[in-house]
Amino acid sequence: MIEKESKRQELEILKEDFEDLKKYLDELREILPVSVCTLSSFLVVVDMNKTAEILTGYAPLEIIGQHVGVLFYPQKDIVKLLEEVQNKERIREKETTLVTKNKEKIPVSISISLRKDPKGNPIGYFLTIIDLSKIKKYQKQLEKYTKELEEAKTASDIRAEAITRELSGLTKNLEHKIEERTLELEQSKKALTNMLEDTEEARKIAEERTKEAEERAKELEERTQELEKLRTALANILEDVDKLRVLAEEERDKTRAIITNFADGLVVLDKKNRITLINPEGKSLLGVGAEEVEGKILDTLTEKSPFKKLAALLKKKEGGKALSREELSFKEPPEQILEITSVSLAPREETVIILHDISREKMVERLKTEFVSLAAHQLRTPLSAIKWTLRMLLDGDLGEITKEQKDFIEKTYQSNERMISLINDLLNVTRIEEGRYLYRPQLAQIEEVVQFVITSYQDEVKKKKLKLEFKKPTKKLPEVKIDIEKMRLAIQNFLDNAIRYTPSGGKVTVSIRDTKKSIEFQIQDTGIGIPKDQQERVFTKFFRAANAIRSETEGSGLGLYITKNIIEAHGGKTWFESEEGKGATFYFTIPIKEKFTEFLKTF
Amino acid sequence: METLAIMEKKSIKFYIPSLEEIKKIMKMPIKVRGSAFEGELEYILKKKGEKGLKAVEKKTEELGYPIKYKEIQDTKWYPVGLKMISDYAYLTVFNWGEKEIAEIAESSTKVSFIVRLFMRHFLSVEQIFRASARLWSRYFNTGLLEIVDFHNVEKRGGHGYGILRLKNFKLHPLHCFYLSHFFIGIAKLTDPRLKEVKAEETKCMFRGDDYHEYLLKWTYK
Repeated sequence: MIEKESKRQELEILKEDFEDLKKYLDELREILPVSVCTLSSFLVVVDMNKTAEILTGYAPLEIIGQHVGVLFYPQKDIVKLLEEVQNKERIREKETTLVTKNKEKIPVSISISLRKDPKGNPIGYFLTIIDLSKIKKYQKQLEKYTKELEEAKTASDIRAEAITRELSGLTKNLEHKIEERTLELEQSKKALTNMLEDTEEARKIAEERTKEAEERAKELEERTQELEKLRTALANILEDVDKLRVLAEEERDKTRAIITNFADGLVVLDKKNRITLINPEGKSLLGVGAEEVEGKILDTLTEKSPFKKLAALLKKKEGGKALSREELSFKEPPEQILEITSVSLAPREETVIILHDISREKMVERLKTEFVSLAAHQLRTPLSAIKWTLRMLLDGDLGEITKEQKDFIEKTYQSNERMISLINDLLNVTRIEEGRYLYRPQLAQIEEVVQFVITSYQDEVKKKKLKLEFKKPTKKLPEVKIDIEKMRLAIQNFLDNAIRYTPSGGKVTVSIRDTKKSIEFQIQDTGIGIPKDQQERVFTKFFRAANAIRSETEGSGLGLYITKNIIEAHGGKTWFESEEGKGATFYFTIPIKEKFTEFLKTF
Repeated sequence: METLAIMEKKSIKFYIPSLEEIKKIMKMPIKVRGSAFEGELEYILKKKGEKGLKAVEKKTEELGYPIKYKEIQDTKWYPVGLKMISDYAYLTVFNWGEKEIAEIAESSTKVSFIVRLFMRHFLSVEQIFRASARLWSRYFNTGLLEIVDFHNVEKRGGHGYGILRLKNFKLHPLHCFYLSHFFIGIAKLTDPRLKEVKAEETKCMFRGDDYHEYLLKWTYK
C-alpha cells in the first residue's frame, strides 16, 4: 500500500515536472527570437515557433503539414541541404531565400540539425531561420554607400584632378596674363617714360623753337632790314642791269656783226639739234640759204649732202666731249675740205659748229709733201752715187789716199750717210702722210726682232761705253704678226735715240713683257731726258728737244714720228715717261690677238 | 429541434449532440488530454479571431460548462464531456457543419502538442499506423486502438490502405466523424507525397457493431 502510494507520488512529481517542462517549452517557443521549425523525416513542417510564424506569415494551421520546400526558393536548395544533413547532422548558416505566405522573398540564413530518437534513428530536423533582410538591406545600403562613396571618391578624384588641371590651367593663364600684364605695364611704363622723355624733349624743343622763333623774329627783323637794304641795292642793280642790258645789246650787235662777218662758218644747234643760227660764211660753205635750214633739226636735212655728213660727224662725236675737231671733205666739185670744230655750250646744251675751210692748207701741204718726196727722190740718187764714190775712195779702189785725205773723205762719207738717212726719213714721212707706207705683216717673235736691232748696235754701245741690257722674258712670248722691217725701224729709232742722248757710262735697258693682251716693249735710258714743257711734241715731225739740240747731237726729228706711225699702224700705241736730266723710258705695245685681227683688216 | 434542424440543413452523417446527450457524456469517466482542444482554438482564432473565440467561450458558459481555451493545459486530463461542449458551442455559435469540423479535426493533428511529442514515430505511414495505439492512449484514458490491416505500395502513383479498430470507446457519432478526419490529418502529416487520403468508418458501435473500424485509403503523387 505504501509502495503504491510512493509510486503515485513519484508519478505526480513526474507529471508536475512534465507540465512545467511543457510550460517552459511554450514560453521558450513564444519568446525565442530565432525562427525555429520542426520538420518530420519526410521534410514536412510539423511545428513552428512564434518568430517563424511572424517571419513566414503563415499561421500554424496553414504551414504545418506542408512540405518545407514551400518556404524556400529554389526548393531544390533546401532539399539538397536537408540531404546533406543526413551525413553531417548539422549545417550552419547557409544563405538562401525564404518565400513568405505573401510570396515575398526574404534572404535568410538557415541552420539545420538532424533529430534522432534515443536509438540514434533520424526522426526529423530542427530548422532555424535568421532573417537577413535587414542585414542584406544594410549590406546593400552599405555596398551602395560604399559604391557611392567610391563613385563619389572617383568623381571627387576626377573633379579634384579636373580642378587641379583647371587650377593649373588657370594658374598658367594667370601667370601668362600676369606676364602679359607685366609686359604691357612695362611697355606702358616704357611708353610713358618715352612719352615723358618725348614731352620733356618736346618741351625742350618747344623752348628751343620759341627761342628759335624769337631768334627768327629777330633774324626776320634783321632780314627785313637787310631786304630793305637789298631792295635799295636791287634798285641800284636794276639800274646797273639796265645799263648792262644796253651794253649786252651792244655786245650782241657786236657779236652778231662778228658772227656775220666771221671768216669761218658758224652753225649753232640747240639741245635738240635744231639749227638756231647759221652765219653767211656757214651758208656759203654748206651751200644753203638761211631760210632753208634755220629752225630745222639737223637730222631732217639729210637730203642735203653737207648736212648729211655733218650730222654723221656729230653723231660720231663722243658723248660729253666738250670740244672736238674733225676734217670733212666734200668730193663734189669744187673739192672742199672743212675742219669742223664742235663746241658744246653747257648751260643751254647748245652746240656751236665752226666750219673752217682748210682746202687751201691741205692743198699746200700736199704740194709740200710732193715736193719733199720729189726732192728726196731726186737727192737720193746723187747722194747714193756720192756714197759709193766716197766708199771706193775710202776703200782705196781709186788709188792710195793719205790719212788726212781719208779723214776728210770719212767725214764726208758720214755726212753723206746722214743725208741719205735724212732723205730716207723724209721719204718715209711723205709715204706715211700720203698713205703709201706699205706693210708686209708676218708671224714673228718680236724678241728676235729686238735682239737683232740690239746686236746691230753693239759696236756703237761699246764705242760710247754704255751699258746695254736686254731683259728677256722668262717665258716664251707668243708670236705676233708684224712687218719685221718696219718694226726693226721703230725699235732702231728708240734704241738709236737712247744711245745718242745717253752720255758715256750711262745705261740703256731694254725689256719685253707679255701683258696677255699685248706685248709691251720698254726702253729705259739714263740720258738727258726731255724737258717737261716739250714733252707733248715728242712724236711730232721735225721735233728736237732744246736740250737735245744743245748737246750737239745729230738728228732729223723724224724718227719718233715715223716710229709712232709704224706702231699705230700695227694697232699698238706709244708713250713715254721722262724727266729732264734723269733719262727717259719709252714704251710701245703690239696687240696679240683680237686687236691684231683688226690691224690685219687694215692691210 | 435545434439538432434536427442542423441535421436537416447539413444532411450529414453526423449530428450535433443534444444538451441531454452532453450532460450524459459529462458523467462518463472518460478523460481527454487538453491537447485535444488545440485544434479548435487555432481554427476559431484563424477563422473568427479573438472575438469569435470569446463568443464560443461565452456559449460554453451559457451551457453551464465554461471553457477558457487558452488556459487549457495540453498534457492535463479533462472530462471528455468538455470536448463535446466545445464542439457543440462552436458548431452552434458559427453555424458550422461537416466541413468545418473535418478541418478542425485535421487542424488538431497539426497543432497538438501530443502529436508533436509523438512525431518521432512519424517515419512512415506504416510506422504511424503501428504506433496508433500508443498515440490513442496519450489522448484518451479509455479505449483501445489497434491496427487490423495495412497495405502500402510506396511509389509514385502507388496505393495503400489501413484499417484501424477502436474498441471499448462509445462517445457520440459526432466524435466518430471527428476521429475519421483526425486519422486523415495524422496520415497527411506523415508523408507529404500522399496525394489523397480518405477515411471511412466502416463499423460503428452506434450502428450496432461491437467496435468502431476505420478504413483509410490513399494514393501517392
